[in-house]
Amino acid sequence: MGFSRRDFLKLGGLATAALSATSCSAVGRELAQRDLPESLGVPLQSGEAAADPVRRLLNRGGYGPRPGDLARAVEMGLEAYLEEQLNPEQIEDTAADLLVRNLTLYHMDPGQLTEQDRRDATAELFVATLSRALYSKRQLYEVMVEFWSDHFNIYLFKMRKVMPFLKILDDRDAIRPHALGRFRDLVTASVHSPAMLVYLDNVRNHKEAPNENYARELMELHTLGVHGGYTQQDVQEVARVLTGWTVRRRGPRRGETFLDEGQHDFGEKTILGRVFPAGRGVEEIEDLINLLVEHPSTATFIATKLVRRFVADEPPDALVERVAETYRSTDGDIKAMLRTIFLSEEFATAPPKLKRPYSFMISAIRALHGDVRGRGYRRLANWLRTLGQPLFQWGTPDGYPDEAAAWATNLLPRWNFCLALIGGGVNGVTLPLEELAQAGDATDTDSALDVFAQLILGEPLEAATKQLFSAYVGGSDISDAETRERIGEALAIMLASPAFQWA
Amino acid sequence: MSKQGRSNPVLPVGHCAEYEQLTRRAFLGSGLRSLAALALGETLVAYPAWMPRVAFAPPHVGPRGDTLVCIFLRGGADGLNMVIPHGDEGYYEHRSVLSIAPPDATQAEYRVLDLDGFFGLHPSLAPLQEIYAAGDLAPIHATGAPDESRSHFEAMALMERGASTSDYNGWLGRHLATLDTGNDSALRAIAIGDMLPASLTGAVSATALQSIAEHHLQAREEREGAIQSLLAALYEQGEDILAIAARQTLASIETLSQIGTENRPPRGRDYPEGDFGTAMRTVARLIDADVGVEVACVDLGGWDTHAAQGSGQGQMANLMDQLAQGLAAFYEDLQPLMDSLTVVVMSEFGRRVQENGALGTDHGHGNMMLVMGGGIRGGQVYARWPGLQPEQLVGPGDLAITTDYRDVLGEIIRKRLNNPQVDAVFPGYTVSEIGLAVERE
Repeated sequence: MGFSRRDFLKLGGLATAALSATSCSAVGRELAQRDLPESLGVPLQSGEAAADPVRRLLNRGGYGPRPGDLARAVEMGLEAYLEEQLNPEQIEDTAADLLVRNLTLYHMDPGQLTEQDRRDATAELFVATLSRALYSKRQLYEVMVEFWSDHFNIYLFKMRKVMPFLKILDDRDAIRPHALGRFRDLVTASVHSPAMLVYLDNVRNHKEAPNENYARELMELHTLGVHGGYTQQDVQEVARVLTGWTVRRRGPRRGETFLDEGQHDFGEKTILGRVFPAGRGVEEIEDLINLLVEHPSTATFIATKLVRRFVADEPPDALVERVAETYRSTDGDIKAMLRTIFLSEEFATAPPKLKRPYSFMISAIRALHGDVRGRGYRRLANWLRTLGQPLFQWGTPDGYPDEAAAWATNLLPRWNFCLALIGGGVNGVTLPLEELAQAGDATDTDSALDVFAQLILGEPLEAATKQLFSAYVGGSDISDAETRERIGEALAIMLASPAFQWA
Repeated sequence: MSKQGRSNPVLPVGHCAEYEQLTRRAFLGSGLRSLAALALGETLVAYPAWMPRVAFAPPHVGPRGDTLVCIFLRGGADGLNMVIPHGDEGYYEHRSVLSIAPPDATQAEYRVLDLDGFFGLHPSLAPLQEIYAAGDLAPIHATGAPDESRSHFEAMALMERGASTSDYNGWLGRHLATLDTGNDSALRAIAIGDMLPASLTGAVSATALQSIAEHHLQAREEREGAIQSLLAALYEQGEDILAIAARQTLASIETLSQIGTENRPPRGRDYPEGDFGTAMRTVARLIDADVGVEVACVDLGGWDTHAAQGSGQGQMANLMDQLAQGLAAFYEDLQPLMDSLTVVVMSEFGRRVQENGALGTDHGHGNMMLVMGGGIRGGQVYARWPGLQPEQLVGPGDLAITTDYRDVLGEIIRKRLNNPQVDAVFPGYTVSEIGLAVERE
């Protein structure tokens, strides 16, 4: 598709967009489903999957492989696959592009957007997020968008009349443009994000009575970390720098961030020992961002969070230090930090990491080449609530937890999701199980179980486990309806098994 | 006035070998009957397989005490506008907009409901007034944890772990690990919701439960057993956090399948609509069904009122309304069992005494707690009041802490929960009881 989103919108407003949208979306779905390989190779043998670094990269630096992805990445090798993923603009991604281009509100400018129905805005944000996770080939990029969406968490329903609009802008204009860029630009974009200023009450931060909320979280959660060396006094001084930094509510430029000089405290401030001279406005906010992103604590804090996400709940100190060093030597280049992580010995030998519910859900659908139609997105969004990780709905500004202990206790909904997904109970989501069995040349129960185990677990079942599943299914004739039903249940249980919960 | 609460050092941790052993890495293999066997219809032996063995000083063996319901107000509830020191002029000096008029301001629309001439309740907490009058509710004020960060996450971690923030191991977990009541129910410790609070993590497995009715495998009835058995077999091995949680989940499904799913009508007033009311009703139902619940945790979030907090009505008043209605409904519903129930309400910190320019309040320090139950010496407010004059405040203008929150919990643990090993629950801290509970018979 040779035209940009801007050109597309120029083509003639909403009516045209809505018309073309249907076909665009259908083509996107068609393309997304076309990639099913004719035969399913066996890249890994029983017992290899859990330790294989390439598979680990697909599971952690992506939402798990679709059929054929693992074989392709194993053949490329870890380094080449990583480089490909680090340059998303060079990856052809028509299917996901078309699915998102289908949306209307998601592409509007702030003034136009805020006049729409906020429920539509929420629905489009969910479709954009889920369809990209499910079908984009820029998997690492999408995972980083999720990572930063947690880091700069915004609760979608605080100030629910405006936040769905503002979160679209945050997603589109703050997080996505910089998810693989420089951390400095990401922080700057977030400081300019109306959603953030509303979420953390900076729109109510006035010179006579400063509001500390954003100032505190900007240091504690976004840059320095809670032990980063700032004091309560610094929080109060940063709050003063941010007084009057707010969002325009009226006029053609409503929804834009600006400095309301009448509400800004122009006095002198001292932050982390540095004097901010009196008489300055926007310039001192820029200075503040520079001071925070260049602080050594920020390098360590960001490195720690990245290593926790991609390597281990308890981040190895040596790797954290190397990633922090990469941060310092590259001015916070996110790609460079990811290279340090994914090419490290620590990643190659990383312990299991529990998938969070979102990764679990997306990876289950991807593993079995699932097709999601319109209403399916709504169903998936609802399932995420039961699973414990509804999109953009973590209430507090720290983002969804990234440790197994937070997620391990809510297993029953995962099991039930698997049963519903395979049993056709998630309306709008279908799995081409027949085609997959054929592509894998399944002839009886045992070979069918192996085909699906490769897709779900990355390797054929080990003998003892296979025996459990075979016994569960009972018959071996896969033309028998009851046997096929049991195989379906067995697949659900494979998705529910411990091996699929760990990345 | 003394500011003793602030002089408590941050808890030293890691000096105690026994405590060190109590991390999740120290779980030993059980080697006993697996849950797979259970699912296949064999009888349960003394220790079910999901229950991790913890290497620890021998637990105190004894009969169980009260059932504890622990309610956490997430976000830092503004205790000064809940249990209101209307007798302190400083309250009105700092809060020209957010304050609630004193009890004798007869022309005011919203007035403090007086408790003892100095403290009183916010009008939205009116349902608690009767419980206070009945002697079953005790507010504690100027209490809290020795947090200096004023960060939600640090303060919650400190309070819920009751110790270092670096160990994923909470005070309730340690309480359960150091008290052997012979109760092997998978529902010995529960949290309503999809995550366990940090207070419950670590030592003994606990179950997170979204609802009783939905706590089962959603498969055709005739397939449920077989699916459950296969899952049990797959999760049979391993002492990792997931395997333990899975066995716990399977056991809890089994336990809950024994009780009916329909809700009986509450014995008193209705539970309020919303997640909190529903959660309190679920807890009541489980306690009533006698399925072995010893500790239940419920969260009520939304208290981070930096802006538009409201006064007599508004954002925070609505939350207080939910809280009070939920507590009162629970109190009436379980009235016959109240002598063996204790409910604790706490929050990670209080809020700044001075209201801010957005008609809200920023993060503060000291706060109130509420304790309710038949074994509580209620009908009085427990407070060594530090005062609200500028020189009496701490940090950027916050209420001082004169009663450590562990003094409140420690007394309940010993007197009401029958666990004498309070030192192991709060390592490195010596509890000074304040006399708010009576010894259990």
